[in-house]
Amino acid sequence: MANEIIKVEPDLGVIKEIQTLGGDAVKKCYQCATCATVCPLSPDEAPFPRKQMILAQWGFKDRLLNDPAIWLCHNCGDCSKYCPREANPGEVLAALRLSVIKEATPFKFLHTFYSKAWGFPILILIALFFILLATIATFGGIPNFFDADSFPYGGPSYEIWILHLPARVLMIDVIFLPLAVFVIIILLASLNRIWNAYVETYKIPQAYRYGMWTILKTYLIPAISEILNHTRFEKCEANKWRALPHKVLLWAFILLALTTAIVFVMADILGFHTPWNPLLHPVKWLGNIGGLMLLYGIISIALGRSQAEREKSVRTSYPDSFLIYLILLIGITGFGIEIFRSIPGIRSITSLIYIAHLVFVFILFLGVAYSKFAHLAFRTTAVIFDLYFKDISQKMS
Amino acid sequence: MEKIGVFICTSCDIEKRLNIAELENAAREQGAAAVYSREFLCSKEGKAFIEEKIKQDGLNAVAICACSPRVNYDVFEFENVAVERVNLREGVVWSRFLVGEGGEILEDIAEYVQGVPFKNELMALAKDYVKMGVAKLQVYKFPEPFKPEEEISKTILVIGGGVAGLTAALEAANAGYEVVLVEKEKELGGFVAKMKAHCEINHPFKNIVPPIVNELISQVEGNEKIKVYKKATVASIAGMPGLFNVKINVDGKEEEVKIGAIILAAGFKPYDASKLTHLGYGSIKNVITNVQFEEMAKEGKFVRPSDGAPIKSVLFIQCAGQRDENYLPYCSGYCCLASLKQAKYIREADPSAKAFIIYDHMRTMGIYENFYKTLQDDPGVFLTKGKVVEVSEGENGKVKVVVDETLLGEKLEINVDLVVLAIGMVPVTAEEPVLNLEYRQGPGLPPDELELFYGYADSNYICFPYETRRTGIYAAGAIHQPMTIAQAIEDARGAALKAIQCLVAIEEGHAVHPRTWDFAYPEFDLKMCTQCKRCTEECPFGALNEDEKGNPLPNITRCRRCGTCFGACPQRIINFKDYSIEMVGNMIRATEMPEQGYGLYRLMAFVCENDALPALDMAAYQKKPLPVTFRIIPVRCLGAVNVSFVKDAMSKGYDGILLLGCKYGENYQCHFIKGSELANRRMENVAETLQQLALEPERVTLHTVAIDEIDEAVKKMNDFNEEIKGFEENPFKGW
Repeated sequence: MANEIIKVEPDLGVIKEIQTLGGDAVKKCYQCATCATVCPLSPDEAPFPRKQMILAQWGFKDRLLNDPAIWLCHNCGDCSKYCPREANPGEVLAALRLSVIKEATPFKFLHTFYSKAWGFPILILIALFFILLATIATFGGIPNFFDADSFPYGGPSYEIWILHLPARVLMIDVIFLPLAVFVIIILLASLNRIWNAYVETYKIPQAYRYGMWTILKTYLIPAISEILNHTRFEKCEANKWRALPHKVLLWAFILLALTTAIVFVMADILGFHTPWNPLLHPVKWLGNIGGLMLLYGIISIALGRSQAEREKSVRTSYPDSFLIYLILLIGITGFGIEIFRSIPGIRSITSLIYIAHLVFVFILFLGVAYSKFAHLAFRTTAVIFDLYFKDISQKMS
Repeated sequence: MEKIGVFICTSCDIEKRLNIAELENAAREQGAAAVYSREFLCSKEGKAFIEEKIKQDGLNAVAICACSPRVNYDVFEFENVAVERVNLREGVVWSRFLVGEGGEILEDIAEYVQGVPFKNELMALAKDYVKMGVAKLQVYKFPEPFKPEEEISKTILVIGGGVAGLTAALEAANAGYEVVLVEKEKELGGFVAKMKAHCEINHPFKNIVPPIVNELISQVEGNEKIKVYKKATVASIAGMPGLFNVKINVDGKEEEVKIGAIILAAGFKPYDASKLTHLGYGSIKNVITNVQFEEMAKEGKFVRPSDGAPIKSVLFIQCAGQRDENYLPYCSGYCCLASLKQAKYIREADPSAKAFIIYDHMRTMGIYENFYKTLQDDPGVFLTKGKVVEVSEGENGKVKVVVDETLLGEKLEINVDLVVLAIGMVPVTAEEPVLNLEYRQGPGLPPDELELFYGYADSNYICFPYETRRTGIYAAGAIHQPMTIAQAIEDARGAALKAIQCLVAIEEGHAVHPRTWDFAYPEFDLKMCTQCKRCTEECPFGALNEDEKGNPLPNITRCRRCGTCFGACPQRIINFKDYSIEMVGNMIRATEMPEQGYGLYRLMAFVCENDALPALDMAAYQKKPLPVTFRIIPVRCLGAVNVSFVKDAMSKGYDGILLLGCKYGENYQCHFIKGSELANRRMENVAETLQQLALEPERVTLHTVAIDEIDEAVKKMNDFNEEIKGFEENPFKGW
C-alpha cells in the first residue's frame, strides 16, 4: 500500500456532510493519536480512529466507507473523552457509519427521511399509506377505527389454500412479508458491496478469498457469539454503562423476533389464532418478557446517554435519538394494546394504538436498512471480516 | 585606604568553629586600625554598631568578616566607606570540614595529619582570608564615575523603519527621548507595509487585520521628537555610547548627528528562492514564494501566473529551504502563520477553493495556536505533515506535487493551480555590516558572534536578550531573531528600554551592562605600552581603538569592565581603581605560607564571581566539603586574571593554582564572551614557563563549570587537591 500514489481531489461536500451528520469537530484533530492509544477496541495491526480522522478531514469518502474499522468502533467515547482538541473522534466515526449506511444502500432518499427530523412525518405517512391500503383491501373497505371489534378484531376471514386467515392477520402479512423481503434484498445488496470493498481495501490475496459459504461457516458463528456476549462492547471504559442496556435490548429483540416467529407459525400457518390469554399463554409470557426487557434496555440507554452527554463522553445526534424514541414508542404502544384491550372502558380506542404500533414497527422494519438500526447488519459483517482478516493474516505470516 | 576597620561577625557558626581572638590579632598584624567582633552584624543593631565605629574611629574602609559578598550586599553599604566582604561563613565554616574515611564529618579537633589537628588548618585559612581582606583595602582606591569632557547626547538612533523600528522610535519618544529614524526605502513601514493583512496582535489571536504599520507610520510622522530620514543609510558610526558621531547618507548627501544609543532594527530579506529549484521555483511559473503570493493578495488578483486562470487550489510547502543545513538551517518562526493566513485569503476569496498545507512541523508561536485552530476548522484547508518529493508541471496548467511520509500513511499526488513556497527570513546583518562602525575590530557586529546565530544580531544570553557585543547598540525585530509582528513589537519595546537604560548609565558614569554598579573603569598607563595590541584585539566588546602608533585608545562608555584587557596586558599597565595587579599581589603576599617541609599544601583558586562562585556558595549551603588547602580569590571574569597573579602565587609558595570559570566554546556561558577561553590560552603559556622551571605544568589548571554544576565544582576542586598531593612541595616556599 505504501508505494502506491493516491491522487487527492477532496470534495468539500463530503467533509461538510460528515460535519452535519455529527462529526462537526472532525477538522479540529491534529493527529496526536491519543484516540488510537486510549481506544480499548483498536487493534494493534490496524489502529483506529487516528487515521480515520485525517481521512475524514481530507474527504477521502471511499476509503472511509470501505473500512471495516469504523464498525469495530462501539462509540465507547474514550477517544472523545481524552481528545486534547475536542475533535470527538467517536462522534466522527458514528457520523461515518451513518454515511456508510446511506451510501451502501439503494434508494438513498429513504435514508434522508431517517436522518432529518422533517423526515419523521413523511415516514409516518408512508407507513400509514401502506397500512391503510392493506386494511382497506383486507377488511373490504374502511373499518371503524373507534371500535376494536371492527378493527382489528373484525372484518372477514379468508381461506387461502390450506390457510385460514382473519382480515387482521392477512393485513399484517401483506404489509410486513413484502417489507421484510424488500429490506432483506436491500441489505444483502449493500452487504455484498461493502464486503467486496473490504476485501479490496485490505488487499486480500486471491488465494485467501474464500467463498461466501466458507466465510459464513467459519466466521459467522464466532461473530454472532461475540455479538450476543457483547465481548467488544464490554471493553469500553468511558461509557461502560452502555454495554448492559444494549445487550438487554439486543436480547429483547431476539425474544420478540422469536415470539413473532412462533405466532406466525402457530396462527398464520397452523391456524391457532389470537387473542391468547396474556397471563396463561407461554408465548405471551415470552412476548411480555421481551417487551419488558426492551423497555428496560431502551429507557436505560436514554437515561444513560443524557447522563453521558452531561459528562461530555458521548453526544446524541438526531439519528441516535430517533432510534431510541422509535423503539421506546414501539414498546409503549405494544403494551398499550394489551392494556387498552383488557380494560372495557377504554377498549374502543385500542384500534388507534394498534395503528400507531403498526406504523412504528413499519418504520423500524424499514429502518433495519435505512436507519442507525442498520448497524446490526453492518457491524455483524464487519466483525465477521475482522475475524476473517485476523485469521488469514495469521495464516499468511 | 589608610584607616581600615575590621568587623568580625560571630554568628552563623563562625564563633563555634573559629577562634575570634586569633582572627582579631591577624587583622591587627595586617595593619587594621580598629578591630571589632560582634554577633549578627547584618542585624539592625549590627549595622548601627558598624556605623557608630566608622564615625568614632574615622574609618574610610571596612572589612566585614562574615558571610559571602553574594548575600546582604544591601546591608553592608556605608557612604564614602570602602567595603570588603571577607567570606568566613560560606568560604570557611560552612564549606571546610574534615571528612572521615566513611564520608562522615569529623570534629575539628580530630587530627588532620599526624600531630596537626584540623582546627589549625581551618584557622590558618580564616586568618589568611582576614588578612587578604585588609590587604585588599590597603591598595583600594575609590572609583570615580566616568564623565566625558564632551556633552553626552541622549538622542536615540533607530536604524530601520519597519514595525520594530517604528515601535522602538515611538516608545523612546514617548519616554521623552529625541529619536533619529533612518529608513533606506523611500517610505516607512518596511515589510509589513507591503502586506495585505496579518494576524491580529492582540487577543484572541484568531483573525486577520489590515497592517498595523499604517497607524505606526502616522504616529511616527506626527511625533515632533522623531526626526525621520527616508531613502537614507548609516554611512558611519564613530565614537562611543553617549558620544556617537553618526554620518547619515540621505539620498546622496551626508548629514552628521550626535547620538547616544542605537537601536538596530534593519530587519530581514526573504530567502533567495532561486536556490529552490528542486521545488520547481524558476522552472514552473505557477510555483511562487509566500512573498509573491502576498503581493498577489494585496492586488486582489488570484490568478495563475502562467495563464491568468483563476486559482481554485493552492498548495503551501512549509520550511521551503529552511531547517536544512544546505539552505537556511533554522526555523524562521513566521512562515506557518503566514501560510495559514494566506490559506484564509484564498478561502475567503472563493468558498469553493482549497488550500493544502504540507508541513514538517506546524509551528505557530505562542497564542497564535488559536489562529491555527481557527484555520484548521475550515473544511477547505487540508493539513498534513509530509515531505514533498516531486514538484512538476501537471495537466491543464496545474502543478503536480507528490508528498510522501504523510499522516495519511501513503504517498499523495495533489494537483493544484498554484504552489506557494514558505520561504524564510535572512537577517540583513548576515550580508552587510549595516552599522558601519569605525571601530578597530570592524564595521559590523563581531563575525564570530554572528556566525553563532546564522547572521542574526542575537545575544547568547536569555538574561540579556538585547545585548549585542557592541555596547549601546541594541537589536530589535527580525534582525535580532526570526519573529512575528507581535513579537517584533514587544522586542522593539525592550530594545527601546535598553537604549534608555544605557543613556542613564552613561549619564551617571557607571558601566552599562552587566556590571551596572561599577563606577571603576580601566585606566591605561601608556608610557609603558609596547603596542603589543593584545588589549585592542582581545576586548570582546571592541571598546578599544588604536592610534597610528598602535597605542590603545579606550572608549570608556563602550567598556563593560570585564578586565579582559587587564588580564591580557603583559606590561600590567591597565588597572582599575578597585581592581589592580598590585591589589591581588598584595592579597597573595598577605597570606601565611608554612616553611618548606611542613608537608601540608596550600592551593590558590581564582574563581569567576559570575557562575563558579555562586556554585561554591550553593555547595556551602549544602555543606559540601571543599579542601581546606584552598584560598579563593573571586575575580570578575577569568579573562581578568593576569599572568602576574599566577606568578605571584607561585613565588609565594602555593603548590597549585586552579582557575574556575565559565564554559566556553559554541555554547559559551561567559558573561564577557571569551574570558575563560582567553584565560585558558594564557595558562597554556604559563604551563610552558613552569616546564622551563622544572615544575609540573599541571600545577596551574583551568576548569569550567556552569552555575548549577555544584557537585561538579566541588569535585573539580577535590580532584585538583588530590592531584597536587602527587607532586613535591613548591620549591619556592620561603623565598
